[in-house]
Amino acid sequence: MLNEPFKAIEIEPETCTGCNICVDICPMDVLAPNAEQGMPPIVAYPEECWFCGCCAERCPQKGKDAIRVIIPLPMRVSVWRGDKP
Amino acid sequence: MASRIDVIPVETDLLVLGGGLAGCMAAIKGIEHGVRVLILEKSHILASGQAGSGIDHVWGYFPPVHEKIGWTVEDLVEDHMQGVAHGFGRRDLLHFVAREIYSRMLDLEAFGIQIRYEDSPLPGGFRLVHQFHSVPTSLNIDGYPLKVRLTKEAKRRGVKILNRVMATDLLTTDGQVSGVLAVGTRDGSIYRIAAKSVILSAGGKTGRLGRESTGCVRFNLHLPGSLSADGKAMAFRAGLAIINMEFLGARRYGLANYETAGRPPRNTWQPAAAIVDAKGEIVVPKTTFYDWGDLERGYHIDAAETRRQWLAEGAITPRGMPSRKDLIEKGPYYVDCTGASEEEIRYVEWALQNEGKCKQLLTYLKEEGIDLRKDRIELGLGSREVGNLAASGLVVDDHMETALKGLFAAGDEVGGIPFGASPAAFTTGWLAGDTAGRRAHTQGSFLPAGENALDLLQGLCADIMRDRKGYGWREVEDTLQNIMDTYCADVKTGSLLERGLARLLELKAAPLRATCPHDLARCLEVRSLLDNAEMILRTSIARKETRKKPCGYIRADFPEQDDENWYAFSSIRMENGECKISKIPLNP
Repeated sequence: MLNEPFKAIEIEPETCTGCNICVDICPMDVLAPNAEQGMPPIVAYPEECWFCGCCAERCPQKGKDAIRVIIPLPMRVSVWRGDKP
Repeated sequence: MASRIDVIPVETDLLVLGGGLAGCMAAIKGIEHGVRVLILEKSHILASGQAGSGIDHVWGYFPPVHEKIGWTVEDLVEDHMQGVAHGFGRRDLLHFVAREIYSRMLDLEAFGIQIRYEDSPLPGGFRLVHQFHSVPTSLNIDGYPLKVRLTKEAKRRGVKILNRVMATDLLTTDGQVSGVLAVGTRDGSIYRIAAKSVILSAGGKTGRLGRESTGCVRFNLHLPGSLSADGKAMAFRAGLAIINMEFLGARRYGLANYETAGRPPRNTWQPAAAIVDAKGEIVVPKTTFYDWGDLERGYHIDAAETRRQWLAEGAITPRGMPSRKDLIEKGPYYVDCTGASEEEIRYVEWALQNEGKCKQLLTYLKEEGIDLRKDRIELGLGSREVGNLAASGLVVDDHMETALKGLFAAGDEVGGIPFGASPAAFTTGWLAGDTAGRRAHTQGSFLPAGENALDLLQGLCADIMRDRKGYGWREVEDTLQNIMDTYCADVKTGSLLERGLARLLELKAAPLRATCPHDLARCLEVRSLLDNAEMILRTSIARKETRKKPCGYIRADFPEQDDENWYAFSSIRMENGECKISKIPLNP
């Protein structure tokens, strides 16, 4: 998608088995199954993600980091690192 | 054209609209009456609702601990009525939630949720932390897998679940509920579901009636983006009265700009988090671990004295959260865990693993190399929400039945329980399931439903899918948020509210357009949001007073609290196409 505002979710094709559990459970219905069986789901509606992380947490390949939630830049926390402001 | 949309007929004895905590508890209890139970779920039951990504604490009265310190259910109700609700709630419902929650937690334990901890010094192995009462009342639980465990239990008992189906309209026959209409969010099919009892448990709240904190990441909300207050909207369209809609909450604060359910420094962030200013000076100190002292030697919190003190300070939250005003005038403020012990840090990390959206937050902090032991995260303003403190929703009797016979409400659909949250969901869900299940069992046959509502829904969906000149859901929702943020902001006036209502009614007349079932469902959500906004604007115009606590409701043109005329819930309902507003007086 060329005009996507942010990625939201990145799926690693090497470790994803295409089981589509993430497609099934996403509360916002952001993901769609790949037309090709066994291939990673499509992030069909990245701008509708609410960043609950259920896709990544409940992924059977979680140990291999098959799904990564990418927090959009405007949402990243403002942090005061270390000792001095 | 309308007839092209398939209509799928479904029949069940007890129908539950929404499979969050309240809906799951209702279904699990309701099926004990030997009836067929069906949950309609707009998302997917394993991850839906406000607990879809977990909860880590549940307030309530927990006898093994509270009895030991001589604190009663009535004490808790008094705390909640005075300190949290400021007299603006239903004492009967609060009492019910407070006294029943312990039993529901034991049910959760039976369903496989951990509620006791070996390292706790408290009786029963419970962990209790401060939330908003004069003694600690928030029970820690390992709530991340709640929805998985509740789904498993519901299925084990024979409950049927239809995922990705959104209820849109209540069907009524002779003053009784006879079923609902619903739309498949993936295939656009229309369902006509006949039922003997219906429980409305669709969540009640929404964060989509104002811009989120970044202004551009649409669903960066502390509430699930899928919550669009569909239940209130369909009850309103069916002619039921909804109370307290004018109390669209003020913007909350949380981490800038990552919105989550748990907000520092209390609850999930205890005992590690303090709040500090830009110089590192402590604004709100951290709590001590467990905050309990030694129970065996006698516990010495004087609850009445504590309550008196925090009421004198005027706080809704007795344990010292900074106000929004503080944040704006004295900020930046930071969440500071750098003064915590390693044990306290690990405790907070455990809590974050279980609280809504916070497990993902932890993953993100790790990726960014942000360490709570040495780094501080700034606080910022978050999104507004409908419900919660002011507890808007339906009026129920003490069996959770609404004014429409056979229709029950549960969880955040129930009006009058300020900060009811998950304890209200667990307890009212269970009770609604019990009474609605019994009713479904004794009700002989299904009531015939007319065709009129079905024709209207078919026409609406066909128009949305056909109308090439209509507007996409995003632009309508953006316009709606502009209207609410401009004309129904934190400080309101009658003239701006009137202008907002006029603009809203124009927007309601604008046609919606979708090109796929996914967007059709979003359009139907926007329809819910528009109906909610109309209720909010109309009741805001009516309430000619300021009521800061607990509602954060400020009218610049009526700056005083007017107890003589407005110590009352507002109530709005539709009658013959017109909105009628009345008052339900409260007893102090």
